[in-house]
Amino acid sequence: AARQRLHAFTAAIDGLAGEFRQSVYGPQDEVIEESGGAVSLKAPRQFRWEYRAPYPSLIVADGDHVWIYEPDMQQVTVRRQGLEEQDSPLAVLLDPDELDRQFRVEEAGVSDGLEWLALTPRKPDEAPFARARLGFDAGGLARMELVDALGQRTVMTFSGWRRNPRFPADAFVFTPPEGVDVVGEVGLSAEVIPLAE
Amino acid sequence: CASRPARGPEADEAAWLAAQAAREALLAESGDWSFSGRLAVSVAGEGGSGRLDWRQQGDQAEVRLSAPVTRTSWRLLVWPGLARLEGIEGGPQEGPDAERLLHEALGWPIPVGAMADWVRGMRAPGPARIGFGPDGLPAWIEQQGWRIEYRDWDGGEPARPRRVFAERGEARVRLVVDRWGGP
Repeated sequence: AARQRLHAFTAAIDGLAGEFRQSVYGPQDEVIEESGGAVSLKAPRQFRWEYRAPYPSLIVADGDHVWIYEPDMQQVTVRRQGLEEQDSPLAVLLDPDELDRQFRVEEAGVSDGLEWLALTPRKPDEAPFARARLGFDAGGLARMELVDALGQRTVMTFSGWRRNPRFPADAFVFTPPEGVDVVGEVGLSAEVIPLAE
Repeated sequence: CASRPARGPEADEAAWLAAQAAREALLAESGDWSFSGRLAVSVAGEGGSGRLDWRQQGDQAEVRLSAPVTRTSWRLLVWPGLARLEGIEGGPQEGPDAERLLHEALGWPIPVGAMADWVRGMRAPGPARIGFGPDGLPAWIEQQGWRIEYRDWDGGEPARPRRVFAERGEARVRLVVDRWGGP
């Protein structure tokens, strides 16, 4: 069933890289947005969403912080990557214990030729979405669906998964470019000695 | 003798102001409009960004913001004298003033009423200063303590802004309009 597919897809895997297409549907199921790009994951909690179309934007989680870079608005938003990281289930896909800790995971049958797992956040008011579903086929994770509290639905379709790829050195490192506003807290990581007030 | 029409920069300025007034009158007539695009907000080092869908119907508005990646959204509904914010932690909130509601709930200082005019390249009601670019289109507007800069336009008729960067003190609101019209 889907759980075995998940396990087969992520067992003994340290990293994944693939392509994604994203469609967002409004409450009346009308298509609001379509975008796409490349996604990379590295155990336990690093990830990179590199949107190419319809406009560039980059989201990198380096394990300490999540960086969101919007070139057209010359802004980088950064926040601490908390333990309770609930960006999307993908962020904890390679960390099954964390997946079970953050979500109630249940088999959700077969449809659209995929075997589905239903994920319900254990802490609903902290979660960025009301519910999620992961759809698997022979190639592994084929689709991720997220529904938020207002009924807006996001569908991510994945393709071309490469398992344990060799990542470029800076795949999960983000350095804000020149002349861009960096907004949000860049918390000192534990071992840095705070500056004297 | 009759005053001769000014020539040179004063003439341009006067002509552009007249064109702007005509453009504003034309835009003010269409009470129903919408756009989808992106928003980045920052105030004193804190902030956020996301996709923005804005739908205006006369003096009512629905403004929806969707977070990066997950596209988790909240939406602000605005009627005359009432605003309602849905989809945020802790459940829906209401208040008489949209700007104050957004500021209290999210810490974001977005002048929703005036932004509805600024985003279309118009001055909001009330005192305002305006400067024009070489193309005769507004380059900036100063109003309500905000400085709104028009970085580029979509070349339509009437022309509408594509990138709007607004700033007041430590607050910055940056908008990119990807598409005018309904989703």
